[in-house]
Amino acid sequence: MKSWVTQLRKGLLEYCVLSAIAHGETYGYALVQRLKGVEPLALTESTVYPILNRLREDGCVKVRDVPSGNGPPRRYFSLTSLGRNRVTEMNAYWDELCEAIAGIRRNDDGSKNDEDR
Amino acid sequence: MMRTDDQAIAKIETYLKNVAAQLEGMPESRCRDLLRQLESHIHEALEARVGDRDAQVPDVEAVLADMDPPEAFRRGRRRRYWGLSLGQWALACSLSGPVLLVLLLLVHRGQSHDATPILVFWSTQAAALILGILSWRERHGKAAVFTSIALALISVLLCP
Repeated sequence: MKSWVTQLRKGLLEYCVLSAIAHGETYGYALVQRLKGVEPLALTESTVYPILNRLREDGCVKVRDVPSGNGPPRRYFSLTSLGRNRVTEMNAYWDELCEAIAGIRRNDDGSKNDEDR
Repeated sequence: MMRTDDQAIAKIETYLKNVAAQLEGMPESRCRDLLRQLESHIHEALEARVGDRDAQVPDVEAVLADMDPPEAFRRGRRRRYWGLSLGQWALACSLSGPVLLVLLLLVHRGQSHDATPILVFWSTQAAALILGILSWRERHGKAAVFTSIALALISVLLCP
């Protein structure tokens, strides 16, 4: 079960990070705190920041550094048009997938599986 | 405005240094970027915790305790040796075997009893096999193992 959960989380990392940024420009700390609050995802700094950098290299995310009065500049992240397109495609696929899985759980004839009764 | 005392700053720098040690093999610009973001993260977390008062060592320790340990940043990263992962080295050995074999056969034309080309070929395939098995979980590790076995079988079949 643990292995399945780990693999599932790995597959969802990018989708979750992009979806979180899709709501509007945000900065690293706020983004991490938002995602950390979603317990089933178990997202932390060591997963979120490397993904953000990779998404930036892929052209899905753009950054804007704002100097702060004390400490290093605050980095804001927002989606590029490529990133927005990717999220849209991911959302469509996710909805399709959820519907398909729901169909499997319903056994396709409307009757529920034993676990769902 | 929040200020951080020197000992607290030293704690932050130690944490970042330990994270940097886990990023061995990562391109320098990416590594620098990541460390800068972590430093910003720590400062934001400290500000959220202390507000306007000065941040001290216990505050930094609390913030760092809430974050991933430096070892977590190594998770999932493959160690690199002179720029290549173990699996990539295995594949390189596997594919270089036939190339070296052909080159050496051309160089040693006429010296039919010289076993050097065959020895070099088998050595590269053995190295590829060992490296590939060691890195079996890597994408290139599996390719190297199968390539080595296939090339070795082919050479056995073609040998007179």
